[in-house]
Amino acid sequence: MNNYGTYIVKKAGDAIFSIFLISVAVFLLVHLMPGDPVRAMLGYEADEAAVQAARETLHLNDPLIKQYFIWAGNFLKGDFGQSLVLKTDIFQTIATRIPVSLSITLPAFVISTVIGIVVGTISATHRGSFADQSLTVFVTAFGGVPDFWIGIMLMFIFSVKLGILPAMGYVSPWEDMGGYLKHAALPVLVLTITSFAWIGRQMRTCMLDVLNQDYIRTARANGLPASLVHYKHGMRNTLIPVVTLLVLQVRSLVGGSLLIKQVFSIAGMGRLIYTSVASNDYLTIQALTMIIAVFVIACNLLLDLSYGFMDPRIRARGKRS
Amino acid sequence: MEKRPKKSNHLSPAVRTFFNRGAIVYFAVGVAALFLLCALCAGWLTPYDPNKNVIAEAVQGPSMKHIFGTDEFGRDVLTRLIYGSRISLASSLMACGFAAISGMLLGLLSGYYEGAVGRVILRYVDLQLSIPPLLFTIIIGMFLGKGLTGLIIALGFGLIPSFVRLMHSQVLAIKNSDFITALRLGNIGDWQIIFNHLLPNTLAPMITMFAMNLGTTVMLESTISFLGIGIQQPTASWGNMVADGEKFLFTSPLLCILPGVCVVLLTVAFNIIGDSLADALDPRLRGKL
Amino acid sequence: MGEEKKTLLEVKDLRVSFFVDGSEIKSVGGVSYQVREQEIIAIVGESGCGKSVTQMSTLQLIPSPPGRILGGEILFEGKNLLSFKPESREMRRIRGKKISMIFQEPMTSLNPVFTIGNQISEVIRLHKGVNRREAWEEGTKALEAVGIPDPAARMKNYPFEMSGGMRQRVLIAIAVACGSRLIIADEPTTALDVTTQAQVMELLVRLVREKGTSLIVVTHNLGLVARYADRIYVMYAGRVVESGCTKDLLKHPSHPYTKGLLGSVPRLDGDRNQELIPIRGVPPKLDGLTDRCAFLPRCPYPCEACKNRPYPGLRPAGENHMTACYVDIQGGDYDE
Repeated sequence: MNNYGTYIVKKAGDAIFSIFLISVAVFLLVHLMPGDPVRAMLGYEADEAAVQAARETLHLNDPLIKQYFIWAGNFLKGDFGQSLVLKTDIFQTIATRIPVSLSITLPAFVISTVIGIVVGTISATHRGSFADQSLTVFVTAFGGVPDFWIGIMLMFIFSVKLGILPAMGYVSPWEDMGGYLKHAALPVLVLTITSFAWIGRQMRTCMLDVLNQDYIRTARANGLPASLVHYKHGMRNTLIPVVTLLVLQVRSLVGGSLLIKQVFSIAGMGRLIYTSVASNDYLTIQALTMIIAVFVIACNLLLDLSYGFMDPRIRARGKRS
Repeated sequence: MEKRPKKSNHLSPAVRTFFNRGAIVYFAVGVAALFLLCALCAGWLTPYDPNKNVIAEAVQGPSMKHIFGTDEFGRDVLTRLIYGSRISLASSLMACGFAAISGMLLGLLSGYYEGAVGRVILRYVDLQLSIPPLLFTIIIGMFLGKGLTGLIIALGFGLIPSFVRLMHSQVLAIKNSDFITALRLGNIGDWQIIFNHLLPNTLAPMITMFAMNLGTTVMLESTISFLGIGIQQPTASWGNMVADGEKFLFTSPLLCILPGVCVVLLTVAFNIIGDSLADALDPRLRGKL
Repeated sequence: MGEEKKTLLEVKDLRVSFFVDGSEIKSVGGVSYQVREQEIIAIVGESGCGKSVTQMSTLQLIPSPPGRILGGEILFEGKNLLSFKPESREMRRIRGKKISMIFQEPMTSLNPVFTIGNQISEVIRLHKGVNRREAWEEGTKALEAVGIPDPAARMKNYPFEMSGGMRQRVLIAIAVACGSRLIIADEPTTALDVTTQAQVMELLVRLVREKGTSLIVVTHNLGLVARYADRIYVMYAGRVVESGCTKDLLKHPSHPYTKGLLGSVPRLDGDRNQELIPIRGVPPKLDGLTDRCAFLPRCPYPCEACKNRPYPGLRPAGENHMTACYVDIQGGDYDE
């Protein structure tokens, strides 16, 4: 097996081990939660026999290790149990929410990435220009504006004052594209504003860093035109830090979407998290946390693997430099 | 940017660099100082009780009596904004302090003892980072119960990884420097090296990191209180004021706008102070948040 | 001196400053020098004396901001290079095609994510207008010419797969590949280990002699250039303080700084028991220069004129030998 193969196996093993540790933590966390979940589920007036019966079916009387394996086994099968509050199958509930979340988060992610990279690159290659200064001002100002408040303010402007976009609700793009665009416009805009500024700023920092490197000086000394220097030699070297940042951004978009759904009353994952937390629906929280953690770890793993394509040093040696 | 050499000559270079960006830094320091004043002297600044309901005066627009009007329970909005600054400042300062101290400790351990201890700590940091910060804070907050103390610890917990990572890399860099090697050869004890030599050398970046995180924390606190998980009614926090004002968006938008403006002002002020501190103390940290 | 050759590059009164935090750092304060065809000259001085900045200015590679070329002329083949904008087409046609540069740091001067072949043939394609395949072949030949074994295979290597000496050879190959008239080597061997230093220097000199190219070597190491350079310019605090033919200048240094430099390095041909005398003090800060001689605070031969009169400027100190000093430290070694 070559070095890159070893690297892949090591990283994949690492990811699996991380998922295992997270699952233990999530499992234990719920067991350490204040309050008796069965009592919470059945109500505090429920009689003792019913509580005991419920404890038995939920395996709550078994030793903790056995409970963990039952839970983990079910989790792998896609059986997350029944929501304590909604009384529905958690897997089903989450499955219906994920597309809703993606239909808002994904466009926002793509748009903010594209704009962020373009703006960041321009302001790095044209330092001190109008574009550069605007980005700095924009980032400084919007870096301090919480998502939820931008959401409300945009709603105030576009729905209340101008009346051109609906304030709340959601329509699936599969059912009605026009309706989806109208309803999704504001939430996507909110997520885009906050994340593109951040990506732009990071891109600018990375690009400036790269443009200060010796090999850029060599390229210029060899007479390469600015376009080649910036977009071949510069851009190619910002790839690794920028892709790393984008994966980080995925993580905060998952978090950021939590609020958007609260402000715009969209029944996505965020709202599910919120209602589960508010109603102490610990099984749902457990499942959601696990899914999100697995998603993030999977993204990180993909990132590690992609380093091999982006950096010849990793491809050849299984590590950098 | 014009310099005033006469004035800056007797200031130390770090202070000069801090104010390098001119007016905007003075503005930021002014805003932060103003809110600090509000938080410290809230009782003297306003004649009203922030939590007392006066139903007869509910949802009034601005007037001479109530400069920014009243909310749905007839409470003076300005008063509640002033008291809200207490929550924002207390939670951000204490959460960052908590994160800085525990992050420093963990980072020291993981950097100085690179073996099993270090690996366990770094693995923990990685795991925490695989859960979105907002979700993580909410779960911890849920666990610790509602209220200011729980909120501060939850916010602090969420910030720990960045401090651990920074401290860890700092310690590694310093540990491998020649003067530490010399101390080790001189048979000086581990803890003595850590406290007398390592710690002072990591102070500048840690202070910078602390300042850079204040703004983020103000924002996060308001977000969590907005969601109804953090500071609870009737205690005024800017976040829950926005949440309560949301239903009056059509009639009295000020209820929503003003607390948000406060969050933005304080966060931006903290961010600018953080950036300027980074310029002055540790330029490598600029733009790292 | 033999027959006079045509002047290839003439720099007149070049002044470059850096503007940092509101203060002006006069990195180059009025430097003049010339390079004739097929000539090897050396520019010698301590780090921070402005020798690299001077060379970067020739190709207008000064990072700007904070750097700015304030004045002077750089005449190359009769054209003033400073009349072109830094990123203009004219300037780019000079860079790498007429004048090539080799930098100090071979480890970081090649782009880590592209192959050697990619980087060398990119430059050849740009300046020679040949197609991809031809450029690759020429690149392979260029690698062979700098003594890299198995060049065809090496073309497909990434920089990290090569040693520092190998990488510097690659950079030399790129510099000579397009037939430049002048090569500027900025501390080309400083970052290499001692055994490789000599090899790389020999290679560079052999190549320029073969191709009839002129060469400027920028260095802080007088010993390195003594064997190769035709003429030497000594720089101190952004100015040329002494210039002359290598032999003459090394034998009869007429500026206290040059003398100090020679006294502080061991010489193979000198007396083994001779004591090495370091120059006392440190180089001056370039943001607070007065109009007096910048070396005065460290000078072992200060006189009244040095304290009362401005920097003297270059005056003749022998045949093709100039010095910027009021004091005649040679003690009658030459006739005026």
